This record gives sequence, C-alpha cells and structure tokens, in this order.
Amino acid sequence: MTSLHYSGGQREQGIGLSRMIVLSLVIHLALLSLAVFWPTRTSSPRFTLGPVYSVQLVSLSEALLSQRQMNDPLHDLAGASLRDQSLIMKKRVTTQTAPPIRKMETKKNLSNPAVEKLRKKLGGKTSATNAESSPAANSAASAEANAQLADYYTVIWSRIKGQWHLPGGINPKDDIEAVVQVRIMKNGAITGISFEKKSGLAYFDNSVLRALKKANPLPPLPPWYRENGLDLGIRFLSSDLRR
Amino acid sequence: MMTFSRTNIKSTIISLAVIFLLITFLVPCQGAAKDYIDIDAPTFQKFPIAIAGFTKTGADDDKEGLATWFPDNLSKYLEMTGYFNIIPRKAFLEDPARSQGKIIFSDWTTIGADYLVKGQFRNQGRDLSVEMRLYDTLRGELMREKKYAGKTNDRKDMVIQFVNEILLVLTGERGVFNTQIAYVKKQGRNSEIRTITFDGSAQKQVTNYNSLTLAPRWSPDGKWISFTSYRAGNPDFYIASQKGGAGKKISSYPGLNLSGAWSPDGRKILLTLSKDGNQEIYAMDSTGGYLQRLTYDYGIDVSPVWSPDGKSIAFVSSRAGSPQIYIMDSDGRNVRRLTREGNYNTSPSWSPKGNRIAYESIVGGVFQIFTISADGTNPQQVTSQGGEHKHPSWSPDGRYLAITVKSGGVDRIAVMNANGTNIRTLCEGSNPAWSQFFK
Repeated sequence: MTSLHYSGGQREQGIGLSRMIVLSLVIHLALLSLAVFWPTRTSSPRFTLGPVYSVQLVSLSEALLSQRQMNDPLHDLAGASLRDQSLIMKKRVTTQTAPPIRKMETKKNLSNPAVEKLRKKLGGKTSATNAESSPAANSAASAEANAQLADYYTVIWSRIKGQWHLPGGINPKDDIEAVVQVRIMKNGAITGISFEKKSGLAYFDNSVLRALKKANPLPPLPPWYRENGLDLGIRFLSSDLRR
Repeated sequence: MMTFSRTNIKSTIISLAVIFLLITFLVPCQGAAKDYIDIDAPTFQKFPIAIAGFTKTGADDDKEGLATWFPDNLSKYLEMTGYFNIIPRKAFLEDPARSQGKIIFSDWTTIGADYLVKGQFRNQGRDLSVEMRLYDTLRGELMREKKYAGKTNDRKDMVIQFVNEILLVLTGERGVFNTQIAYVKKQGRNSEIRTITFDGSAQKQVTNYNSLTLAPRWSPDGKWISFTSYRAGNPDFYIASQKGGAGKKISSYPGLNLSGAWSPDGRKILLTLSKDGNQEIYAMDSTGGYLQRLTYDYGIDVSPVWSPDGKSIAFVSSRAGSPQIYIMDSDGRNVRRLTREGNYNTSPSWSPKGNRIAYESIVGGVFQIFTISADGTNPQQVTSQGGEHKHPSWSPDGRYLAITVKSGGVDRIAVMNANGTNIRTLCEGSNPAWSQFFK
C-alpha cells in the first residue's frame, strides 16, 4: 500500500515538473516569438508575405492615389488616368508578391477581377482611416517607395521579357523553370548574375542569360532608392503550350 | 493513464521545441526575403544565325564553288530543322578589308545575328579538309569548332555533321537527318512500300509485290519493316528487310491481318485481326509464335501503338459509337478513353518523349492533326490549313511529325515541327511511319 502511495506521490511530482517545463517553454516561446516578430512587423513591412501584405499595398496605394489627386486638383481627367495607374498596380501585386515557390495559378487569381473587388471593398475603409489619422503618412511614404519600386519592377519585367526568345516547340515539356539572382546597380547595370535554380536544359539557361545580357543595362534605379544596388530574383518559366 | 500522460507531455515538449526552432530559423529568413519577379512564356523566335562565306586556304582553284556551297547547304539544313532564321547574305556588313581576318562581332549583332558560322576549306585534288566554327556574337565567344577531312564527295556529310553540332549546342539534341520515313506509294491500282530520308534526298523501294500493300511499321532497330499486303489475295501480315528483298509472310489468319506497332524492345508486334469476328487487337511475338488477344469488344478495335515505356497501348475503338482513342495496359486491362472532343478521332501515334499522343480528327468535315497529353488533357489542334491532314507519325526525337497531306486529290508525305510550323512536302505518298535513328 505504502509503496503504491509513494509511487503515486512521485507520479504527481513528475507530472508537476513536466507541467512546469511546459509552462516555462510556453512562456519562453511567447516572449521569444514576440521579440522575433516585433521588429519585422515594424521595420520592413513591404517584404512580409501573405494576404496582409497585398491588402495593405492595394489600400495604401489607393490612399496615395487620392493624395496625388489632392496635389493636382486641376486634373479633372484624373479618373481615366488613375484607372490606368491602378491597372499597373495589379501587375505590381502579381510580380512583387511572387515568392519562388509560388504556383502560376495564384498569379491568375490576382488578375483583374479579384484585385478590382478587393480594391472596391477596401476603398471606403482606407479613405476613412486616412482622413482621421495623419500618423499614417510615414507608412504611406514607405508604401509610395514600395509602389515606385513596383513600377520599376514592371519596367524591367517588360524589358527582360521582350528580350527573351526561344524557337517554338523546342521544349520537351511545358513546365521548365530557371531562377536567377541578379544585382542591379544604381545606373541600371546588371551585375552578379547567378543561377539559384538551373532548368536542367543548357539551351534554356543560355536563353535566360542572353535575355539578361540583351536587356542590360536596365533603366537606373529610382533616385530615392538609397542602397547601392538592388538584389532581385528572376524566375523564368516556359509555358510552351501557348504557341 | 500514467504512460499516456507522460508520452503526451513528452510529445508536447518535443513539438513545442520544434515550433520554437522553426520560428527562430524561419522568421529571420522571411524578414530578409528578396523580391522575385516572374517572367513566363518566351517570345517564339527562331535562332537568328548568319552564315558567312567560307574562305579558301589551299592553292587549288575553287572549281566547285565551295566558298558558297558550304554556306548554302548549312543554311538549307539549318532551315530544315525549323529552329533557325538565316540572316540573308545581302544584309551582311562585314568588310574583309576592315576586319582583316578577325571577327568584329558588332558587325553581326547589328544585323540581328545572335550566332555566326564561319569556316574555311582546303581543296587539293579530290581531298577536302574543312574547319567550321560556331560563334555566339553577343558574348563574342567560340561555341563549337570542328575539323573534317575527307573527299569532296563527303562534303554533304560534313555539313550535316556540323548542323548536328549546332543543334546539340543550341537545342540540346542532334537533328533527325539520319532517319527515314517509310510510306505507301500508289502505283496504279497497286501500292508499294518505300522509304525516304528526312531531307528528301534519297528514296528506296522496299516491296515490289505488284499488289495492294499498306501500313508500314518499323522495327525499333530499324532493320525491318512490317506491313500488310494483298499479295496472296488475303490481307496478310509480312516483314521485310528495310534494304529490300522478298519479305516473309508472318500471319495469314482468315480476314484482316493488319500491321500495328512494334514494342519498344522489339519482342512483340501488335496486330489487328478479324479472325474472331470483328477487328480486335492482338500482341504477337515478333518471331511469329505466341499470339495474345488484348481486346474483347463488339466495337471495332484498330491502330494500336505502344507507349515508349512499353507499359501501355493506345488504340482506336468504336465501342462508344464513334471512333475514339483509348489507352489500355499492355496486357489489355484497364481500358480508358483518351479523346473526348470531336466525334472522329483516329490514327494515334505516341511521342517518343511519352508525354503526348498525336492523332487525326475531323474538324469541319476535314481531317486535321491534333496532339493530346497522355493523360487526356489539353488537346491541341496542330494543323489548320486547307486539305486533309492525316496519319501523324512522330520523329524519334519527338520534335517533328510526318503526315499525309491530301490536296487536289493527291496524297503527299510532309514533315513539320510538332507545333505545326515549318511544314515541308517530301514526295507523293501516304501513311508515313518514321524510323528510329540509324547509326
């Protein structure tokens, strides 16, 4: 009997100790994750991935657009031109949020209707927040920078795409992919081209290098961009079925 | 109870530790994430290539005009592949006086040539030695250099060998110049089997049976051609050497003995026989022995072809009312329908790369060539010109299709790139079957 009691007491003790460990781990975890998450949230919002990001981008740029409108009140025809600008915005969202692993389908989803919907949905909300809170200006500035960088991405995207050629029907399959890392200098010169992922087909990789070579130099980086160079990943995808 | 809670706590601790590790390692990565842009679908543009005149280095006169013969023939064979845009000589800017034997690459990039071929030859009597070089003008680099020595008669081989080198460097694979296409040539009321080379330069008569002879199929080693002939009155199945000769009757069951494809290992031949009622598909040992029935259906089952891995067979069946293409396992089990669009889909040919199946389908009352993924998705119309386009047969590299084009009442054999571009007529005839590579 006693031995049973005794072992029971040990059991309780054991569980108590384990509970303590779990509790301490949970607290540690909570504190650490708070510490780890906190600075990324505040310091570099434009590189975080996920839906929060795209919503923020679209809504803030909407705010930006309204700002521009205020700066230029005589611009009565702004309606049409703004529409064009917002069209470019869609492209921004698609190109910029693309992590290397992302599937093509996501991109299609982000095309016109979805973004349009999102924009409409958030339109009222953002103008309201913008009106009542001026501290948003700071983040709006960074969003403008972000938007301008996205403009720059759009330009270099079309520049490189325009130089990428392959004869039709040459690819043995439809989903060939190569990812390159490049550094774009202030003057637009492409340096330090390296493959993050080769396609496995020498001619395909070669066509990618040729496209970059032909597109070089790219337009200079935006003047406000303070870094010496911009590191960028470019993913080249064959979709040979579209003849 | 005790063990449960202990393992539970243990696993909780472990999973918490894992989560902790994940967070500490992944979050900094996410914070430092770099932007990526996606560029998809390159513009379809052929490789722009310039082929400069060849220079003579020997003392002998260039009686045969080799200085232009080489560029002309390199251009001809490169063009045949459908992957090259040959920059016309008139556009050349190169000035020999200025370049003095060196290559000024900007002379070539200015006229839009991404690649340049240069060469020189030495001609002494009937001996000929040739050097050919392929340059990347954009990077100003030599990509491939080859020297060939032989007789003046060998010059075509030299050209084809260097074209193959260019193809290997720029597209990853050699060309299909050393392949042949077997076909049916009508001669009055009869027809015979003949072969023609990919470039159309040489033709050969395989049968001389003075009867109706049909449906040629190559053995995988390229040594034999099987076919069906009415030579003895009944449509029997024969095999003959591709070099010609009498040929041998292999099967003569009552009714139809229609030749089908050889298995990739050459051990079996698929046949369509009507001995058991309607047309059914059988697999026969290529030695003519054991016969295995594969299909059992009230509909007609014909035109069987193997998948490149030998595990599946595509064939045509009318079991659903209209002729459609089906796939079954090589033992006849697991039949599933491949084509769902169109109400007349026949003549399947399985790409050597395994991913697509070509076939003919009636569109607007006319046969056109289609390809479809082997899983039945993504059917694509490949030809759309006027006239009938039938009997597709893949080249051994899966980049081209041989077809029958009927226009003005005449059947002709043509080859084209698998996306339907670059169509080139070879000769009169029908029912092409493309060989493997010859060594």
